[in-house]
Amino acid sequence: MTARLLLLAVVAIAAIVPYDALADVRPSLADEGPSVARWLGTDHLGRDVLRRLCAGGGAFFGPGLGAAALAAFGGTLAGAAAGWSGGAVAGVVRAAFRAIEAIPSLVLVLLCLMALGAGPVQLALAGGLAGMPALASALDARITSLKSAEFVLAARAHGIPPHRLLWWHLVWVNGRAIVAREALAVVGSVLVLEVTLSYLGHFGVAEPAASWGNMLSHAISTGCPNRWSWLAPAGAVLASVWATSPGPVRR
Amino acid sequence: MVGGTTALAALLILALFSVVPGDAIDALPNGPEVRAQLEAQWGIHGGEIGYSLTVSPGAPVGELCAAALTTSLTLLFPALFVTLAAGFAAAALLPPGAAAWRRGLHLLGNAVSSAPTVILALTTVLVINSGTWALMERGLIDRPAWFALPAEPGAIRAVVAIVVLAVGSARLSQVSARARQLLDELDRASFIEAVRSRGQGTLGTRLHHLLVPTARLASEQVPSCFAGLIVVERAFNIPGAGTLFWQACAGRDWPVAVGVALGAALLTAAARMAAETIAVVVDPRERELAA
Repeated sequence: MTARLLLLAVVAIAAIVPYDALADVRPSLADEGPSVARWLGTDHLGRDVLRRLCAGGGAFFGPGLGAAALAAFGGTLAGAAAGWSGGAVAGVVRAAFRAIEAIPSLVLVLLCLMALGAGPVQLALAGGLAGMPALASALDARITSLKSAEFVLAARAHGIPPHRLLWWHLVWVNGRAIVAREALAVVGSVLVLEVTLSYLGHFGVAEPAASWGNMLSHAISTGCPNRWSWLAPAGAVLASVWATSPGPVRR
Repeated sequence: MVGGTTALAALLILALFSVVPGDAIDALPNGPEVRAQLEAQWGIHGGEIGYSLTVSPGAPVGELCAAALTTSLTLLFPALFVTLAAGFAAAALLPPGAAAWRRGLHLLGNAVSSAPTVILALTTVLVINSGTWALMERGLIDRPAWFALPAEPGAIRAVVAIVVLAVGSARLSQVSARARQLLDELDRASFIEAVRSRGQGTLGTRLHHLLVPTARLASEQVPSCFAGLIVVERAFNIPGAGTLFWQACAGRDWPVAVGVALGAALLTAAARMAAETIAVVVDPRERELAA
């Protein structure tokens, strides 16, 4: 987990380094290989691949964090409500999330982007909505399984208020690892969405702004004379997907 | 349950449809006269579902979606089969304490499978195109008919698309991990021990007990597989539901986009229903629960 978080921290720090996409265009240096001055060479417009790689991290990191926060907030509320109350509330919440899960995530996100327009905030909203059901279901299952545990019965017998029992003992102490793991997975899913949308065009990050998705797309369309213009963003995507993939829950 | 899920999914899609600013017909490059003419001709008021606006103007959405979904299902079902077959094969090849080369193979498969579908599809296109171009430059082969993905459909292209769809976005590694878990549970099960102690073969019993979880596993893969179709069909230039949905999104053709999204939700619900039906038919415990 430490290695994963370290990798994400590197991506986040690299993403906040200032980058002027237009000033970086130098057609005379197009498709150069790696050198001391430009470690990963240049792309078809002579732009430094390493600098674009660093700047491209920001295209998914901001929306990813926003989506994770939204999914964590909404999913925790809904999952806790469903798991704790049971009955009709749980039925309604679970049916709503089953309906969202019945729509493929990319289809749902594209419909949201069509309705709301393209942009990082919209991507965060759509990604958060798509990631909410998994988080809520996982927390719901955890709280349902713990609701009749001995420590909960003991806490009730000691007169601990229900809201403290739910939010502190069940959600925070016993459910935070699940929320953190699923929220991290939402960051990864937004990365994949950003790459996919940038490849498909129209709703992704448009040139000249840098994103790993449009770097890949342009490298493919120009035939990759400098292979690092393709390998670098592909490697960055794979490493970030690994860093955000859900690991085992530590309890 | 399944009908309710589909109805809720449809409501969700239609709610999104209703919050869209403006009317989809505004996406057409025309003035108020043409708009009035189209409204009169097609009966479009407030973007109702019925006829395509920009993808194939005037064509009924139902017909467009049905044709595209039929093409997509010829990719989706084989891809699901390949995922399950490869996942169970990988799980069976890796019993506890397997040789190092087998574990290495498994790790390699997981690494490849963890790549997003878009990366896998683009890499495949790049490798095939670069390799073929290199052979053509050296004069070793003539230009193949399928080179640079022309519009005509081809078997090779479909097979490659199915493999990419089956492997990408961690589908194969997830199925393989779940299959390993199922096989381990079966190995430890008391009824398998009982069959073994009677000196009988356990294959039939194992297959019988694997049927329900395998059907559920397959139904769980349908939504992500459909999402993968949008990328794979575009990367390999295949005219299916994914391509249609993307064209509809790019052209703001709301009726077609909503039609394909409803088709996808219906497909997911149908897959779940099929899995639950198999469970009820095969497993008496499930029958008791359902009753």
